[in-house]
Amino acid sequence: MTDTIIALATPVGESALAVIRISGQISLTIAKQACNCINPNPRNAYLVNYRTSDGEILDQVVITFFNNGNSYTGEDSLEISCHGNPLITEMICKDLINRECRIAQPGEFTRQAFLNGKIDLPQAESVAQIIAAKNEQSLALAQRNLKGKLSDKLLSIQQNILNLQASIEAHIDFPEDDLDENDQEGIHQNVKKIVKELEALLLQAKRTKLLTKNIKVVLTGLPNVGKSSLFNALAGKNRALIHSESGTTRDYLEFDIKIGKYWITLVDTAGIHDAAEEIELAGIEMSLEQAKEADLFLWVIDNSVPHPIELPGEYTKLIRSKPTLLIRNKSDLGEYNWVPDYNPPPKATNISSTGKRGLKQLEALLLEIIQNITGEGSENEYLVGVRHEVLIKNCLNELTSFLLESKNGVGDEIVSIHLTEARKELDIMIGRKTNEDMLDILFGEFCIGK
Amino acid sequence: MTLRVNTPKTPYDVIVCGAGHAGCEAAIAASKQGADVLLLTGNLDTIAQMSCNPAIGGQGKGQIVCEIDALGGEMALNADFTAIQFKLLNTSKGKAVQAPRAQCDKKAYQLRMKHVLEQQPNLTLFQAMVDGLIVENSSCKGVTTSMGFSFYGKTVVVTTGTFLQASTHIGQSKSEGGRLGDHTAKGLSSHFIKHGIKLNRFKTGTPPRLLGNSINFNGLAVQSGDSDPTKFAFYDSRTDTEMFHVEQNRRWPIKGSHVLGSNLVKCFLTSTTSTTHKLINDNLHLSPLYKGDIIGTGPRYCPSIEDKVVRFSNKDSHRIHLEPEGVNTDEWYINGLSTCLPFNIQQKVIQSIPGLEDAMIIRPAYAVEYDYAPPTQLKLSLESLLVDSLFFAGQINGTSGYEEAGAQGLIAGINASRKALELESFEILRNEGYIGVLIDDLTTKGVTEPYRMLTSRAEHRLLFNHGSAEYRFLSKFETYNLHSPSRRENIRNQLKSVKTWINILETNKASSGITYAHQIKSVSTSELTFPESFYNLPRSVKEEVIYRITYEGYLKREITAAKRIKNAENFVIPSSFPYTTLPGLRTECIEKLNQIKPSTLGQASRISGVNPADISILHIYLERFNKLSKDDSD
Ligand SMILES: Nc1nc2c(ncn2[C@@H]2O[C@H](COP(=O)(O)OP(=O)(O)OP(=O)(O)O)[C@@H](O)[C@H]2O)c(=O)[nH]1
Ligand SMILES: [Mg+2]
Repeated sequence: MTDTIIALATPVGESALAVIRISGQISLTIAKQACNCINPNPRNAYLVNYRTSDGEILDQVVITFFNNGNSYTGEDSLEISCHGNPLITEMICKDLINRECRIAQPGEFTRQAFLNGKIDLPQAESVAQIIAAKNEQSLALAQRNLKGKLSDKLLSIQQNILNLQASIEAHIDFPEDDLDENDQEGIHQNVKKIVKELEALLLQAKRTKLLTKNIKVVLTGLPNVGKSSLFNALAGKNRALIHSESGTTRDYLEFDIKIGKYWITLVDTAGIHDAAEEIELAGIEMSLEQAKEADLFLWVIDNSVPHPIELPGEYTKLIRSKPTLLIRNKSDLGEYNWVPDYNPPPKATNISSTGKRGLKQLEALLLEIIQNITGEGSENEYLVGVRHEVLIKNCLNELTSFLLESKNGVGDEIVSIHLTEARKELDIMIGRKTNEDMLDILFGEFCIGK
Repeated sequence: MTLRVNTPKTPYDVIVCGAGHAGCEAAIAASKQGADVLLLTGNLDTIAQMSCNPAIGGQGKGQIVCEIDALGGEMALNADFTAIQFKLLNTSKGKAVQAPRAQCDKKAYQLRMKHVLEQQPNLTLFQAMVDGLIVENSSCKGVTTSMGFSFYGKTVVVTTGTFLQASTHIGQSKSEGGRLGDHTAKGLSSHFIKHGIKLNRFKTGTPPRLLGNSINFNGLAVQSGDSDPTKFAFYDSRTDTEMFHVEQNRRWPIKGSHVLGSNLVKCFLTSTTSTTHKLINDNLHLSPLYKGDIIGTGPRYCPSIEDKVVRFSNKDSHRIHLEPEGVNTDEWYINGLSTCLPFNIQQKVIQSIPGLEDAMIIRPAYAVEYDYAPPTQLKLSLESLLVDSLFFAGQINGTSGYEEAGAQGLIAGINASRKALELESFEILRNEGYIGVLIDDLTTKGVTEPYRMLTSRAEHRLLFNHGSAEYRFLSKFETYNLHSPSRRENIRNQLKSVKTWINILETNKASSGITYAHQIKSVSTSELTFPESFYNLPRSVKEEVIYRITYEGYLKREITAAKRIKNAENFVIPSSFPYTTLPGLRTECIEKLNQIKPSTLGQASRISGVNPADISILHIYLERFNKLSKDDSD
């Protein structure tokens, strides 16, 4: 069976539309399983939802299936046109990889096409030259990336795995040598340590995503506390409708602002309360949707009243699950400085939206929280792209299997395979280490020679 | 058969130079293929000599010996019949990495092998020193000897071991020879160089031998053999006449010969002391290794005692194994004490070891330095890329070990005869067995130290359990004439039986209520029960059934992975493929490809410095090349 390969056919970056090309045996399966398109007519376009293997909808996409007789490569192929947001294309690519596709090597589509007799030799040859050029380019790129902190981290992980494997292999290949008992416990501890490091990198991947898109900051709170006023104050112009009557904002409003080096989408939502009218209900429903997608909350309360009314439980939960800044608005009218009764309470700041007081302080606090999320300035600041994220996850899975099986008494000669596989994932990111490298360590560390 | 001297018109099919472990297998394999073979050795008394330790097999190596047997070689039988102690290694680990090993009677091993050669049809044995090659138009036509006459052959297999430009070292004293007291092969090296074959230098060493009755064994730990020996050869598939060919057909009974599979001897264990280490440290300056008199690279897995003491200075003691060299001699091999310190220091070192206080050295330890020909100059068939019809096998290819040598001899022998008989070559790929890994590693990656097999070198070692060698190579038997038809038939039936029984055990339930297969995976061996008729199966079938069930999930995963290698492996690169003219390939890549001349796309992808994008490009041009040459012939 040959692999099914995928690639982004449109340039990376923001654009209206992005096209992901898939070529290989499981193209049709993907149309069926990810796009619920059971029997696509070849060369017909279908508007469908793209769902991950977990059932989550990623985007509304247009797919076109080409059977092997009619495709560019001569293999079954599928084209997915999705929205041009890099995040969406990356998520779809990631899901395709989960479904056992593999990212195409430079020129691989053309190679398939040539091998299947779809294009002639001069065409293939010109592609070969392009591959060669791209190869140099990507090598140069890889070398530049190699200097990064992430590579240092991955290199050290690769080295650690090699060390562990050297120890395991020494005990397998030199059973009669005078080696210390294989320290299973020590090996497990080490693998666990590597697992932790990889998990930290995955967290970093999440943070990296925040850097490639806007950070969503949602204003939330009871009606009439001054959310829209704050929104406007931050946006710098009167965008939201402000009214002394509660329930003024029924839709949600977005506005992009820049704080520090970060782009933020500020979202003003409807105040939360037991809605009377149908139309308000819809607004509140939307507020909840927005709140779920928030990266960060600005929780606005009225500081001129002693005990604000509690938010519905659903909201309290959401607020507690994400980074939140408590904003005590209308401090010009009174400063009761209420603190929520959970621990640790969110950071709080007093402002007056209409009096434009405390806004600088608020922005500073906001930036601090964002930096915290992205890990800026910390020693764990790595940029982990989606391609790396997938590989790191695979690596992590292998190590987890190693731990699990090893604990269940599966032999070293078998669990060692997981270390080899984990290494392969690292190899893709930072260059190949061979069995010879492992043996170098083995003979360096262990006194072999019966 | 008469010896055909100086007769270029009636050449032998195959001339094998050297009758060590590689040469013997090469000559036997070639004659079994139907070739008319001449085997030349400098000394008939050193046929199949174990120059170093008196044992066959061990981790990675034992599996190779089983594979040699499965491919029709002699080493397994020869070891089984001359073994004096059997031991299965790694029994505390899984079956996949268990390996048989046997202490053998050195002299018995040699005599039996010699007698096998003497009886082998189509094989002529002759004592002569080869001192040159006859090469015409980059094709080898025969060899010259030191007696002044020549032998002509359609193909020549060179298995000169450590004898090329060899020197032995004991302290400062240096003498010529590939083994203490032996000659060296002069002249050949310059012939190789003349024909463009590069040579390099390696070194290896061997420990002192002691007289047994001067050793005090009291108080030393005893190492006995297994009560239920694991033999190398496969007996369930052979008819009786195939089993004991020498034992039944020999003209004179060998005195002291014994029953197959018996444990006649014990080994002993002792260790170095702080006195030993001080002695070594104080006299390091006298070791040619440290003085720089030896330039060749030595094997890291078999370091000299001075290396161990220096490099692992934190260890205050190293193990020393005492192994008898045979049942008709009291010479003992001191495993772990390889050295090239001067003889007087060797004596003191020996005396510093418990049990050896009064021991007498009867053969000193020494190091040997020799030429080898980097094996990247070879095809997978072990034929030279530079001189046609010239094959290389064994230590001359930069390997170490009797088993590695034997395996190469077998492959070179089969291929030399097939070339002479104008048949296509015989190759074993790295996803098929340890021998495949060995040859692929040698020809693709080359060597940086004397190469020894390790199970970790095989990507898919779970598939290479020693018991499965016959089954793994079954498809080869169909195409290549490696066995008698009856053995082939037996193996085929056994494999069928393995599959049937896996099915039976997976579907039927034991008295405990779970399937037999489930039981195999979950309960300890002692509690296992089987259907009555299972017990009557041949042992090899039983073991393979249990192995495949135990490792079921993992084997599936490995088989898929191995198949992936195979796809690229099936993509053949013609030997005349013009890399240099390909636009788009990097210069570094072209150089490597030209040097190694990979025979498949898969092999190309394993060459260091050739990356996936290069393979893509190569793939495209290969298609074109194949298409054009096909169009030409239409
Ligand atoms: N004194 C004072 N009044 C404020 C302040 N912020 C807002 N207000 C007033 O409070 C009233 C409600 O303000 P909005 O900004 O519409 O409140 P909201 O939270 O968006 O209300 P809904 O959209 O209905 O949920 C308006 O009359 C504002 O002028 C403040 O800091 N000080
Ligand atoms: Mg509002």
